[in-house]
Amino acid sequence: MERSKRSWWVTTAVAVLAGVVSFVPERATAGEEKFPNRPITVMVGFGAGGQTDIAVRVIAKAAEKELGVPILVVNRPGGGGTVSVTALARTQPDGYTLGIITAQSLAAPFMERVAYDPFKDFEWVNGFGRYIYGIYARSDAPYGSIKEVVETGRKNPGKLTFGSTSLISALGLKFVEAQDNVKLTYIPQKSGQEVMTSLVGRHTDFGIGTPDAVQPFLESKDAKVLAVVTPDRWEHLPNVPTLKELGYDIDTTGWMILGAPAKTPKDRLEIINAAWRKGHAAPEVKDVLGKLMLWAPFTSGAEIKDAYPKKIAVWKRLLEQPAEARPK
Amino acid sequence: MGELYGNLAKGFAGVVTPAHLMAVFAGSFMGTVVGVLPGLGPSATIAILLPMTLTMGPTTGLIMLAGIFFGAQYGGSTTSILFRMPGEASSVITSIDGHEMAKKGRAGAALTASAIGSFLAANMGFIGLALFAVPLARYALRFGPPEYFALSFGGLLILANVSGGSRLRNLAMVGVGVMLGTVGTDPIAGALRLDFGVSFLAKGIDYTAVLIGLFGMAEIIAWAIAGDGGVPRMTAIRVRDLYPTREEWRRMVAPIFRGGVVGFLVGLLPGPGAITSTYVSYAMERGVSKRRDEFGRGAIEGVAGPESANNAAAVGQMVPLLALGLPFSGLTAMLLGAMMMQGITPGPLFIAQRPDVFWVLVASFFLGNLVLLVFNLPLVGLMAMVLRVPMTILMAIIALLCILGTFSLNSDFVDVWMMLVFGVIGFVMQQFHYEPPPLILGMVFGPIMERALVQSLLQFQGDLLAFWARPISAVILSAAIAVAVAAPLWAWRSRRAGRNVAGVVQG
Repeated sequence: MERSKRSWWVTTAVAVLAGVVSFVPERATAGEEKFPNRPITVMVGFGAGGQTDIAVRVIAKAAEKELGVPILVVNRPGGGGTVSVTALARTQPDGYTLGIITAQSLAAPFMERVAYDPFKDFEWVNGFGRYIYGIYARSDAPYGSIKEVVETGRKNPGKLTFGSTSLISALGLKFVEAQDNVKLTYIPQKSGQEVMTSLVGRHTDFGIGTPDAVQPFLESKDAKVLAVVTPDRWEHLPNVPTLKELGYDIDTTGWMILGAPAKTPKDRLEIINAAWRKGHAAPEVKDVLGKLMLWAPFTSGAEIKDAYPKKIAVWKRLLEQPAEARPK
Repeated sequence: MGELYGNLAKGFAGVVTPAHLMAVFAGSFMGTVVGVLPGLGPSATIAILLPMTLTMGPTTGLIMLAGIFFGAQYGGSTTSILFRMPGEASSVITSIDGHEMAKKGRAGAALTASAIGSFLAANMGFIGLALFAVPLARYALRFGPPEYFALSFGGLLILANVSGGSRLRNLAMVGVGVMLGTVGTDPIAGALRLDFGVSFLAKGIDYTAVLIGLFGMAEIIAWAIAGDGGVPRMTAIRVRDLYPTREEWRRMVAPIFRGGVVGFLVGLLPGPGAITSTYVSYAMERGVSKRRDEFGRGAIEGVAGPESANNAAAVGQMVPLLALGLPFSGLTAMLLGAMMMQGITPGPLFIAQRPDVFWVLVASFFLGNLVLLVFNLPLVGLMAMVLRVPMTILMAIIALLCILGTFSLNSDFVDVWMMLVFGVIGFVMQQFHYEPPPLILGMVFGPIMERALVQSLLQFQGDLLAFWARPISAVILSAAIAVAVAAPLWAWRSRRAGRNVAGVVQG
């Protein structure tokens, strides 16, 4: 094409590009007028479609209306949630980036080198859901209770395998191991569904997971629940004992915590907290959370922060045993 | 069979409502667009749209998301063929022969082969889904970590053998890819590796950014340096260039059929079924073809096979999801989430308990597939004509799309820098005749392979030989190793034989 025509094209392209680029918002400066005035990002440390991810997405959608700006939910899966948490510790504490903190991220420092301090590097805004776990086996398994599992396990040390998404959720069985001196093998898995696939496919002997993952297999009689690792029995399974009743004093229910990087201004956190709480209480959200079988009480970050150190001490003792599952 | 027709009939009756029809069209359209654009993929789109499906009825939302899922498999091949810039990892293999065909002026034929193959293979998959969902899914359950490892490892070995170019270089690229995949947190415990204390490496290197850089940016840099100027690739499109010749039609049939079968079966299995199915299909087509040396230079079998396979694989991924409630991939996990949000719990009893949802979904798959074909075929002409646009404009637009697409992955500019760096690396690789597909696929499968290996070893208590104690993994590993060892030996023998013949003729 002739030179003049080509340069016209080039000029137009550059102009359009310049125009587009100029619309990109600049980084927020301190002392801004109104918070929030641009979209807020929430990082979820687990894959899309999972319990945590969906819960966050529906609450975020409801909370958007309160905040007046869009809330973008971004998945940063990996390391049981630690990748996302690491990224969160490093973002600007301006209130525009939040993340989900879970028990695994809090306990990770005992197990390997992580790039954050779970208590010092974050502000804990609130807790809006609780992870509850159960211990599942196939329905045709030869053991019907934890006691029988221990017996079988003693006769075959290391042969019985159990899978779960994080060592924290697996702590129930680890406690059994420690207390009854029996050796089981832990297989780390990526998601609640992988735990069930592995169990039903006969690749692991037990699975530890949330109630929604096992429900369809209970109905199809592929799986059964041996025990639940919560303070109380589950309402829809009144015959299944808790580990506590069986004599193992361990509680692995963890909170889903909404967090922000440390030093985020308190007033901004308050605005976020209020919006999140309202979103959490919305009827359509409660409906979905119920369908996900997620136990979802709401509490303030401060309350959880106070209660955690004691809980973590128990976990720490268990995890720091010379355990085969501890990577170097 | 009568029952099948009855169920399908009910399904079709259920799907022909205004809401459902709109969902089919919207999903298919969005999926195609998203598949064409670099970076923005079906997973991101589905994730964003998930909360919106709440307001739609239970089945409507699912129909739309499934439409996006399938549509993306159609769209990905377009840029792959036209510009050697695959929009998705599942279109990487298509770019090998597809782009060579485009350079010879056969872009339209390649695009048509891709569309037709995708359509037919998907239908094959749907029939498999309708007839054999439950037993197939139960069989797929027998694949555990040792089998995933065998599949990934074996797959990478096969891949090194079939990508164009030197086998040794491909293996090296696979190795580099696997190493790049280890940067960041380990898939098991989350420990940091190869991060050099830098925070942006701690989250790993996003393989889509590398994909866009290695293929997209590298092409742009190569073109810019070559200095062709604004001359468009093709000056005239004859009508017969738009569609395959009779000979090409004939050659397409068997690869499409084989691709459909292979794709569906591979898609059933856990892992990135769509991607794996493409290179398994490519290897197979190259293996059985009488025109082996055409592969890598524009063999239509190398387009028809993989493209059919990846569509059939998308259907295959639906099988364990719908039959057992077990999603084997990230995309299907999101579909599961969408179902759960509606109070539909997929599980082994899903098909039996909710035939109203299942058969309407299946009917929507058939319908959506038809919509996609009708939508994509006329586009072939349009797409092929894109090649007539002067390269200056085209390359500028593509560069912009690459940057935007990469940024859209994680809203993180680091990904864009990564993409640019790999663009340079890709350009350098091209100059030294190192092929990009093995590197990318090494990055994708490396973490999967690693996790599978660790899980298997934990289970076996460290005993490597136990891989051969299980029938499925034993067969796969042995076959892969046999191919990896035999293929270079074979090639060496035929080269020697060739030299001898030449000697005899001359001497």
